[in-house]
Order: sequence, then C-alpha cells, then structure tokens
Amino acid sequence: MEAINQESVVYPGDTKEVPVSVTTTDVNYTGNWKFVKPVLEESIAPCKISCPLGINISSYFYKLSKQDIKGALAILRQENPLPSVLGRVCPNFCEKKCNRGDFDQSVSIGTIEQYLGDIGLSVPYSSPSKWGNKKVAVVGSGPGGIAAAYFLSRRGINVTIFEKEKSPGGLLRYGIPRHRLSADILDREIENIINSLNIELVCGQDFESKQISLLLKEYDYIFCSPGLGSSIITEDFAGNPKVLRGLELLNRISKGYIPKANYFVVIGGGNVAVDIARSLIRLNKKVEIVYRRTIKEMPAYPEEKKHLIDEGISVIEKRLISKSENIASNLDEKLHLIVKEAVNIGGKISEGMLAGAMDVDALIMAIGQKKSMELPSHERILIGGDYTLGDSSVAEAMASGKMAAFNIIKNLGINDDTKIINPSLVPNKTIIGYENLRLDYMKKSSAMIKKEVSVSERLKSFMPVYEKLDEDAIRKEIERCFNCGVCTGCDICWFFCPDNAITLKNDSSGVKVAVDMEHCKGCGLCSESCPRGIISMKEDI
Amino acid sequence: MEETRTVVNKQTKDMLLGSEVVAHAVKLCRPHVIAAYPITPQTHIVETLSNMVESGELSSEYIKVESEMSAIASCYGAVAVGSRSFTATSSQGLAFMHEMLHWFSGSRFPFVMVNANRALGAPWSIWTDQSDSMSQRDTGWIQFYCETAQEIMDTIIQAYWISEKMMLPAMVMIDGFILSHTMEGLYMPDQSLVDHFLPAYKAPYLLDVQNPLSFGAATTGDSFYNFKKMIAKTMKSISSTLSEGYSFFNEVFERQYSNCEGYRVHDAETVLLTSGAITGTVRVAVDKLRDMGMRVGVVKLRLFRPFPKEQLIEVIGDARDIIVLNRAVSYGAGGTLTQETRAAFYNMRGNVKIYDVIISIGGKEIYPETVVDIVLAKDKLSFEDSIWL
Repeated sequence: MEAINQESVVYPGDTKEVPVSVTTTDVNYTGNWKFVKPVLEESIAPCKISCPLGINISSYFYKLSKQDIKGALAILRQENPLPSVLGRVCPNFCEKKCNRGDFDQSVSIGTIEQYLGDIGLSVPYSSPSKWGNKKVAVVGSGPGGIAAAYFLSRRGINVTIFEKEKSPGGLLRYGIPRHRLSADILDREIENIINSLNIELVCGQDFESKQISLLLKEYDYIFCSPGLGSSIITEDFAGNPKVLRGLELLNRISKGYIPKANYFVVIGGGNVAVDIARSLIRLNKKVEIVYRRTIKEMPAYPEEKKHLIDEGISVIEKRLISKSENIASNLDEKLHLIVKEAVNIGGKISEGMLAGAMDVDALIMAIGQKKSMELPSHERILIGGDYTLGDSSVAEAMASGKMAAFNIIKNLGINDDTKIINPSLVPNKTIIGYENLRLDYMKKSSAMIKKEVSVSERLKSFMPVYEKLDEDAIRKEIERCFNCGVCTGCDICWFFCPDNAITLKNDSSGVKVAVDMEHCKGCGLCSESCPRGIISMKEDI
Repeated sequence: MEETRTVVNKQTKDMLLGSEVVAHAVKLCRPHVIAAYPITPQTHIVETLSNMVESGELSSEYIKVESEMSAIASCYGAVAVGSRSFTATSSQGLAFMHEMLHWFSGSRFPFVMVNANRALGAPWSIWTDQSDSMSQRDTGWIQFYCETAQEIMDTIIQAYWISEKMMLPAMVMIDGFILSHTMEGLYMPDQSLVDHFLPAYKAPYLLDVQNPLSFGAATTGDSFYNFKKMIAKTMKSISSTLSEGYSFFNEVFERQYSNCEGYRVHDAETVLLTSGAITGTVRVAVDKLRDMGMRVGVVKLRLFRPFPKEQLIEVIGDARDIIVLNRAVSYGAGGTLTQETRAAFYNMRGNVKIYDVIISIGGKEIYPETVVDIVLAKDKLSFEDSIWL
C-alpha cells in the first residue's frame, strides 16, 4: 500500500504538519482485489427480438438522437427494405414489447420508422458490386419477393422479378387500400430499390407451375412468393353472382373499379373485411359488417378497427349469414339473406336461432384466403410469404423472403459477414428486459400520437388517414427511446466509478466505455447504474 | 461590563435569542458554505441562517443535508476547497459526527461548529448538560464554552480566528435552551470591525484538479506519529496565541477576554470551578456565601481544549479547596471536568483538595441554594468519591 512519508509532503510556509500527499495513487493496483469484473457488451433489445425482420431499433434510434440520419438509415436498411411502407401498415410487434411500455407508454416506433423511411425515399442505394455471375428469379413482387430481391441484389447477385400484375407490390398495391398506403409512397419506395440496385423487373408475367420449373434452366435459384390470392367462399354462396370475394374486390377497386351496387354486407372480421368496408364507404356505398364473434375478437389490427368504428361502419356482432334465399340473378333484385345467431360453445361457433333477414345488393365474403396455385417442389426453389405462412403480415412475409435470400446466399457459397437477421440465432446475447434497466434518470412522458384527418374530410377520397407528421413531436419521440442494450455514451458509469477506472472511447464496436482493469475493484456500481443494462458482472478468474 | 450607551464604537445594542446570536455572528464571519441539519435545541440557528441566505443578507452556499454526518462531511469538502464553513449541532447529532471530528482535526482543517449542549440519550432528553461535547474531548478540537449572549457573539469570531491561525477545528458550546432559547441583551458589532479582526481564510492546500493532491491518505506508523505529535505541539501554543488574540480583540471590540475568568477569587479559600451559563447562578451563590463571611470565589472555564492548565492554576491562586461543578461524567472515573482539573494540578501545586461534584445532568435544575449548601457542607464531603446530589 502506497503511504505518504514526510519527504513527499509539500512545505509552503509553516504548514508542514498538514497530511497532504502529492504522489499518485495510480501505483496502487486495486484491480488485484476484484473477484468479479464488469463486462460491457451491447445486448438485444426486446423490440428487435419481436420484429420479424430483426431491425436494430434501439441502435437506429440512438443514431437519430445524435442527428445521424445517414447512420440511422443505414441501420434500418440493413434489415428492412420497405420502411415507409411498414411504418404505415405494420401492426408494430415491436411496440408491444417496448420496455418503455412498462414505464409509461411504448415508444411510437412505427411512426419514427415511417419518418425515417420517408427520408430514405430520396436516398438511392449505392450500386452493389456483382458477385460472380449468379442469377436468381423471384416470382411475385409482393413484400416477400421484394425482400428476397433486395437482399440478394445487395449481395451482388443478379435478380429478375416476375410479377403477374402490371405494377409491382402484390397486396401492398392490390390489397391494402390507398388510404392506408398511398400509391406515391409505394411507387417511390419500390422504384428506389429496383433502380438503384439494378433489379430486373418483368411485369405482366403470370406463370403456371410447370413454367416456374422451366426457369430452373436459366436461374441458379428461384424464390416464389405468390401469395394466397384466392378468397375462401362457402359452398352455400358459391356460384351466386351477387356474392363477391373480398380479396378479389380489393384488387379491382385498386385498379379503379367502382361497383354499381349500393348496399353491401361483408362477412368476416379480419383486415380484408375491414379494408373492403372502408374502401366501399369511400365510394359512397352503404356497408355493414356481419361477424360471428364480437368486435373485440375481430382479428383485424386494432388501429384498423378503431378507424372502422370512427368512420361509422356498423358491425353486427355474433351473427351468421346462414344462406341467401334467392339467387338474384338480375341487378335490380335484392339478395335476401337469412341471419342467424352465432352460438359460441367452447370457442366453436354454430348456428343458433333465427335472428332476422337482410335485403342487400351484394354480399362480400372475407372469411379467409387459400392458395390459387400449387408450386413445384425442387431443392433450388425456395418459397415464402403468405403461401407458406398462411395469411400473415407484411413484415413476416418480408422476413421469409429475407431468410430465403440468406439461404440462397449461403448455398451459393458467398461469405456473408453481415449480422444474422434472426436474433434467436445469435448465441449468448442477453435480451434486455424492463428489470435490467435503471430508469431513475428517465422522466415520464406520453407517446406521440399521429394526427388524423377528420372523418368527414377523409371519407371524401382515398387520401391518407393521417396528416403529415409533426417534426417537433418526432424529435421528442426519438428521445423517448431508452436505447435498451445500446451504449449511448451517457457517462453514468464513468460518473459513479469510485476508482476512476472507466474511460470513454469511440470505436467501431460501438461500445463507448472501457474499463481499466488494473484499477477496477469490481464494486459493480457501473453495472448497477447503467440505464441500459449493458454492463454485467462476471466472475474474474 | 456595565454599558448604558446603546452604541459602542460601531456596535449596536440589541436583544436576541442565543440561537439568533449564533446566526448573526456566523454571518459576520462571512462563511462560504453552511451545511444544515436540524436538531433541538440548535435548529433556530440553521433556520435563522437559512432566512438570511434566502433574503440575500448572507451570501453563502446553503446545503440542506439528510443527517449530521452529511453536514460535517459536506463542510469537510467545503474546507478542502478553501472555504470558510459552518454547521451547528447538538448531542445525538454531535455523536453521529464523531468519526468526522477525528478526520477534521487529523487533516488540520480549520472550522467552527456550534454545539448546543444537550444530554445524550438513553434515556431520551432534550435538556442541557455537557456530556455531548465533553465526551468528544479526545478528538483534537479546540473547545470553548459560552456563558452569555455577548460571549456567543464574540467567541465565534475568536474561534474562526484561532482555528484558521492554528489549523485545527473549533467547537463553540452554548447551553441548550438556557442560552439558545433565551433572549439577552448584547452588542452586535459592525461588519467592518469583524472584517478588521478576522481576515479572509487562505488555505495552504486546496483540492484543485490543476494541482492534484490527496488529503489524509494512508500513513504508516512513523509518519502518523509525527503528524499527531505536531497536533499536540500546536495545542500547546494555542493558549498563549489566544491571549494575544484577546488583546487584539479588545483593541477592536473593547471587550477583554481570557481563557479562565475569576469572580471574587483574589482571597478565596474555596473556589468553585464551572463553565457555561450556570456560572451566573454560581455567582449569586458566591455573593450569598461572601455575605455569610466565607471566602469563596468562582472560576469560569471558557477554554476547555486545550486545557488552560497554567492560567487556571494562576487564577485559582492560593485557594485550598476547589469544588468542581460537573455537568458531564466519565462513567467509571468520575466527573469529566474534575479529572481534567486534578490532572492539571498534579505535581504543580500541593496542598489542594479537589472535590468532584456532579451538579446537574440532563437538565436537572440548579439553584443558588444548592451551591451554597454544597460549600457549607464541604467539610463533610468526601473528596475521594464523586458527589452526586
């Protein structure tokens, strides 16, 4: 132990009796005393785990908080090709797991994603260098296909997308109505990818199953994401000209079709049912939804259900349309529907008592989707999207395309050093839970709410439901992210270290603090005080 | 001192509570930092100071802390960066500070703290005795005991002077309730007088990131011994330095002080030894005894640490009996003041009987009659035992 002796004391005046030392305590290697040591490592935030695409949300939020738009966009684009789209239509799995939700309210991650994605619309991708001469065909330019094409071409593989419709997008264009996702945003986002990544896009090309197999001659791999494409329709209503299919009707409306009928009833409780109903009232039609369970149980996204109610569409709960009493072959004749109670016994629905009748112009079935074709099976044909997942979300479809792309990349023998997309494949990384955070430094605040156009105004057309985002609110919302698992260089550990053993450094690994192990006693204060839970104490052997 | 003038040389006569007097005295000394934690019966001190800071009358950093340990530790930090600092406490609070009292003196940091004398529990008491400060006599602090409001004002100023001159912390004692909560007349000096007497504090060493130093770092035997030896040496010179200080004080404020003050001791055969506010009561008893024809006097001890051995022996003169009136006890060894007195007289003067009387603990009331009775019964008293009344 370093001790002072008389010689090392400074002697101004007559105060040589004051026990003051000028020697350094640096020579005292208190680091030898520790039996646990702090380990700093950035960990995984729950938002990333819950995101099907594994977006490093807390990282890009950190970049945004430092006004590094370029850096933030790069992180976002590493995992997500369509942020402007997803920011608008994703059900935001991340927000449900956001740690801030346990503190006050979840961060409005989707809104910030939209904000950043919109900035990216005018930022082209740098042209990737080609890797050999490998070619992959992507069948379907919906979210699954676009994602696969994106990741493949960014790796330097030649990609050709074949799309059966006249324009790319799949359900993004031909399913989701314009008031949820405007054509302008969709076009710009897809065009940016297609153009700056040199992807070949062939539209108006519909393939039968055996034609797909033929592609194998020209392409090293094929990825198919054709979607489901076909509405389920019950036997009772098949063949009735006044019974329409929800998915197909959405497709036609997106191309400008306006049905002549006026009074529609929609059966179903999912997003297709809600989308078709909300589209029809914008075309000045009368529309009601009949659903066999309650509004609460409708599987459509909560946000969509809220808008549905706000827009004045009534949902007749716990009712079944058992059959129509007539075929109503001519246009003027109403379709007479028999309505029965939906009896729920142990979750199974069956027809109950007669509950009335409805005379409508048309009945729309939106009770589910099924495959419209059978894809061939081959080791060089990979399949994804709704076709394999069942009707699913845009993000999940994109994730399947991304997974397929990475499998192809691996099979082609390309060394892929990018971070694994599926966080569950990352070994030995902790997920930051609410209990790992130290939130004494945080102030409570409420989440940003997007401003809505008034109902009366928005129903006049397919204009977006939400107004332009408020920049000030965006800034505040970015600050609300705790940046779980990301070192933001907040200096709190440095502040509390009693041994002055923490120094600050800036390097590519992202961790901003370094511990001087020669002087760290292993007291654990840094670990306890870290707001983001990225310092843990491990045994020091 | 009998003054009928209301203004004496830029000093205004006023009437204040003892605790308020402390606050005014501290204000006049221009502290940079005040740490505050309340405890009966000193709370008015820190409250009055807080009002002064809030009104802008006093520009000090006022730190509200959550305990007395924090109060004194904050002051330690303040002194380390060269500030003149202050805090006040009492009994349990002083006890809580104990560890820091050693740190202060060991670091040779000048400081003034006012301690309102109050008994230490258990059992619980808020009333006055000297057990709190006297049981800290080994901590290396200078200790003063005040009798009047005027003394409070003047002693605090003197305490800063001697503390900063000798680089040792000082405690100024006021009787809890008797002085702290009683109003008395006194002369309040003008700021210019205090500035003239007490210069700004200049620390020889500072905590300064440009010139890093360690204070009180680990020290092995030889060094430690030498540092403490120097404290002992300093303590020895305090008594005489204070006498010089009192002369200077008298020049500026026209009041003469000493470390021990005698009353009617010039021909006394029996001398009562006391300290603090009870001196007033004892003077009344002395007058009564003198009227009865007894040659009795009283000596008031103002300075307790360092123990003013020579001056005490001188003031007591040829008296043969010293009755020490204790308000603090070292259990197992008798009254604290008695021990100090007996140690002072050892090998210095023979032929003196020193009686150990425990006159009041925990605020037990003292009447002049009690004191008279003790003196009258003196011959029947054993001086080998402590006398508990």
